[in-house]
Amino acid sequence: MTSKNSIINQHYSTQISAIKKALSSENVVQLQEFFDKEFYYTLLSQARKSKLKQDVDIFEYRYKSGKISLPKEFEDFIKKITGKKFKYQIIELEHKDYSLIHDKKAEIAIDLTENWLNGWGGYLMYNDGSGNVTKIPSKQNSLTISNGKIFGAIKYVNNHSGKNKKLYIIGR
Amino acid sequence: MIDNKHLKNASKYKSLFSKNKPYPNLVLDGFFDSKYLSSIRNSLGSENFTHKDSDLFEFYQTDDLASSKIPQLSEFRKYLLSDEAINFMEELSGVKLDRKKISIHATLYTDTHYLLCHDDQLDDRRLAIMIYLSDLDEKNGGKLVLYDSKGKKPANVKVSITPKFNRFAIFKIGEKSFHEVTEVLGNKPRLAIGWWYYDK
Repeated sequence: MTSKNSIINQHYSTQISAIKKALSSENVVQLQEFFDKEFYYTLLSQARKSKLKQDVDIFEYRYKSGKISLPKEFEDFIKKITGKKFKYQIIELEHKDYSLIHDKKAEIAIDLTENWLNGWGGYLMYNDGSGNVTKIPSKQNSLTISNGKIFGAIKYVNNHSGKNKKLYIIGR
Repeated sequence: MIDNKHLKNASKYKSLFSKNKPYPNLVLDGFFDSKYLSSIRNSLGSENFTHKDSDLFEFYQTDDLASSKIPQLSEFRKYLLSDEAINFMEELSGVKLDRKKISIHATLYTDTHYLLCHDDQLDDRRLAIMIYLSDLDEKNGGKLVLYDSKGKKPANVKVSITPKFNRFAIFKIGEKSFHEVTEVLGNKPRLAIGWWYYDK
């Protein structure tokens, strides 16, 4: 459900305090069915049309990436929760792609993938540095926010994924 | 237990090991007595393997065989710390080793399992060694690949080693000993024992 002209599910835009509280206690939250459906498919279409380039640093990541900008309403929503402004990029992963644990930095991930199985890898994973790992299930039209107190990564995409591709918008 | 044909050739292997690119490494087939190694492989059937899963890797692994209650595996570990084994490794590699220290695990990779690129540098590790206990083909993945480097980072695959029963692979650990295990593809499991020797 969205308020008139809003791109964000009203349930979330009216629950900022609760989301902040959950993020503070859990370090990472996933908000499902985040965008208004119409906007979600517009965003998906925009992401699919974007020009992507192969991006590899063997020690850190392997995927295709491209530029994207997001509406001010989304940026304002994120700023209310995290107090931060992010730079966004599209990331497309296929078989053999991954993103290894990097700095403890707040991170935003919008999942734009339809029909993806978690057994194929490519899901978001967060490690608190003590071996406690939180795996975020793949979910189309979800927003994942981490608060920078844990390390983020994207699991290696394995051969069961076939020719399927995982699509995210990542803000760092 | 190292096959005699290899034991007597350690000095010949030294120059091969040091000259091989992208960093000192060597692969030898038929390394241990074959019947002996088969008994080691069978012993692993009674050992407990734990699922290891992170961003960097996914596979099954035993605890360090120092804690194994299976006599054949304890004896195998002891043998790898024997004068015969250590002298061979030192002569082959030109590295002086701690004669009392070894870390040794068995690993089992099944379909989709992998180990992404890393350098093995930890503590005083000097030599990394694998003995393969199963036969895989090119199409099955599970290969040990060695990268060359550009600056301080891994660049391109230069060596690719397919697991074969009783194949021994050794490389020297250093700042640029970048390597990985490629994803296992399909139902042939990749069973191996890997160990590290340490600086004297």
